[in-house]
Amino acid sequence: MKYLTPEGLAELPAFANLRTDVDAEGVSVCDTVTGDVTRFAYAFSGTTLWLGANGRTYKFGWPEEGLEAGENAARAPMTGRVVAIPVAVGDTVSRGDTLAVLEAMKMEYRLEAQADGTVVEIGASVGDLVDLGHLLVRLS
Amino acid sequence: MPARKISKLLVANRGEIACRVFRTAERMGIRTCAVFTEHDEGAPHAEREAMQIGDYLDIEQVLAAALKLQADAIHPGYGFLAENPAFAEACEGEGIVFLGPTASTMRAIGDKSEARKTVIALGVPTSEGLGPFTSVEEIEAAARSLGPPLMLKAAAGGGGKGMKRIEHLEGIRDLIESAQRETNAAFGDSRMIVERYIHPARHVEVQIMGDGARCIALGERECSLQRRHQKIIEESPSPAVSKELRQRLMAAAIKIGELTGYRSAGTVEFLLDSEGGFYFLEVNARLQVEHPVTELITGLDLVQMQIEVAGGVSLPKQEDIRFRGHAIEARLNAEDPYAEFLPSSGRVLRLQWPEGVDGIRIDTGIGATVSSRYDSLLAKLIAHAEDREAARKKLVDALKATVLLGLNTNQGFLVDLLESPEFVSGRFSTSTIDNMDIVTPPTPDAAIAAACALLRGPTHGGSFPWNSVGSWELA
Repeated sequence: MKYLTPEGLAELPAFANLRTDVDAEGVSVCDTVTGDVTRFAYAFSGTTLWLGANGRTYKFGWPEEGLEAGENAARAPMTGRVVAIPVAVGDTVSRGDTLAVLEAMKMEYRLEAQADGTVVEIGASVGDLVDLGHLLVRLS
Repeated sequence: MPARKISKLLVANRGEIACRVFRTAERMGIRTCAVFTEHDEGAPHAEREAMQIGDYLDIEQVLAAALKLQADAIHPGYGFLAENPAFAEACEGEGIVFLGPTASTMRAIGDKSEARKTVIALGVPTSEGLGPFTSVEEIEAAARSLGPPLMLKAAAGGGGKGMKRIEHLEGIRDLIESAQRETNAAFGDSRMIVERYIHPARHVEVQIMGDGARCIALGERECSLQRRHQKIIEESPSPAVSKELRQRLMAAAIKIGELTGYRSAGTVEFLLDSEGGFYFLEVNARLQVEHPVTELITGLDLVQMQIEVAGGVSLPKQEDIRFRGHAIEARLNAEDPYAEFLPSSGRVLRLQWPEGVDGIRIDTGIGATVSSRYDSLLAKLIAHAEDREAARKKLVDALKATVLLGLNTNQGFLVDLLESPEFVSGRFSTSTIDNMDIVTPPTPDAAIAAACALLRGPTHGGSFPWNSVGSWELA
């Protein structure tokens, strides 16, 4: 996901050499210097814009609250069921310790602490079905 | 059970495999019917006479549906009940043909620990292993006695579920418990076996087809490119298998199949070490995900053969099996390769396959939404050409011409993998993907420009915050 903010967009180069042409089926981007044309298919869902060209997909979106960089927490990386939360509020954990185990598509995914810390909040219980981005364990 | 001509077939499965089996059945003039769950309402496989059930794993409900729909045969696909001997038995008990091996064959070889014993008795090499064990204590003791590196596997398993690599003994209990939960959830069986881990290794498997007495082998498939122990690119023939090795592998596979009275389609999996030695891994008592590469190079339809074998038609002779060209399959999965291949879900907003390309086969059964409830496989793209390089290029072109928007997929990663020096040279092992440094590719300026062009105009229905923000417009 590439986050586009008004501020961020304003700082981008103006792509003086790129000419865009939007129609109902897609967007053609022509590089007026090289003559290369890339044709993107697109689709919107809520605040996400999907683009696809040459077998690659690009996702543009609006930064959501709580997903800011540097947050010391384990959030659900996909929709799934909580299998285990082997920590409790007040526990001290080290980088690499398991904070939660999630199951989706019959496979288990282990979420590890990205840094040392103390558990300050548990956001789900074992057995819960959680959505993408749901807070599971927050560290100080 | 005596040979029977099938008139109506139920597929006890979903997604691409259900659609693929229906295609052959319909071509053969056999009527078809389906089961679906609440999560698959309106899915392509259910677009026919169908009944809703609670769970594809529920033997009683599947059988009740088959009887109600008056099906006289069941194809189990792969996963779910495909290798469940109780299900095979229950089908035959109701007079319904089960398109797969018999329950007793499944017990003898579908179970990894039983298969190991059978194969050792035949003199086919296997890697050192112990089990099956049920208690965590026993599994841990076995692991300690063999010593790492080890593979922990579900005795009943397949598809990477419950499979864990043990690098060191520290934290081993967590791994065992996690593996047992996975295998229990997937197969309702928590028995594990512990095996010595062969490294570096290639995963090569032989397709067999049996009639209950005689078996034939339909060449090998190279399946070394795996992530999370699940294959993502398969091909036939294997670039690592010489003509002489192929003969030895096929002979071993036929021997294993015939000893167990194998009926229907099955796969005998082997590991190849770097010295050209091979070790029996397991028998998959089912039609496998990657069977199309074998179909393309042999010109045979394996589902048709399964139906014919059940109907008493005799198998082709081994010497009449011909191999033509090279076939490569790529599995398009709902997953994020740039976030440790985590599965993704979402609504399919746009879907477009390359159309009318000669030598490209697409097996798909994608519905309008992809839920995290089922396997992440969305579709298989399979290329067939006169040689490996031509097939590779054809598959890359097909992936590049595919559009699937609305959820994260491994589409771009598959292109990168097919164009990697490892794949191009044919020199790779089961740990090649694990050892790759997979980073999110940069977003090209053209994509940003396209996004800006779309967000500028009133051409879309998205509720972007930009709409209310104002002065950000780009030149």
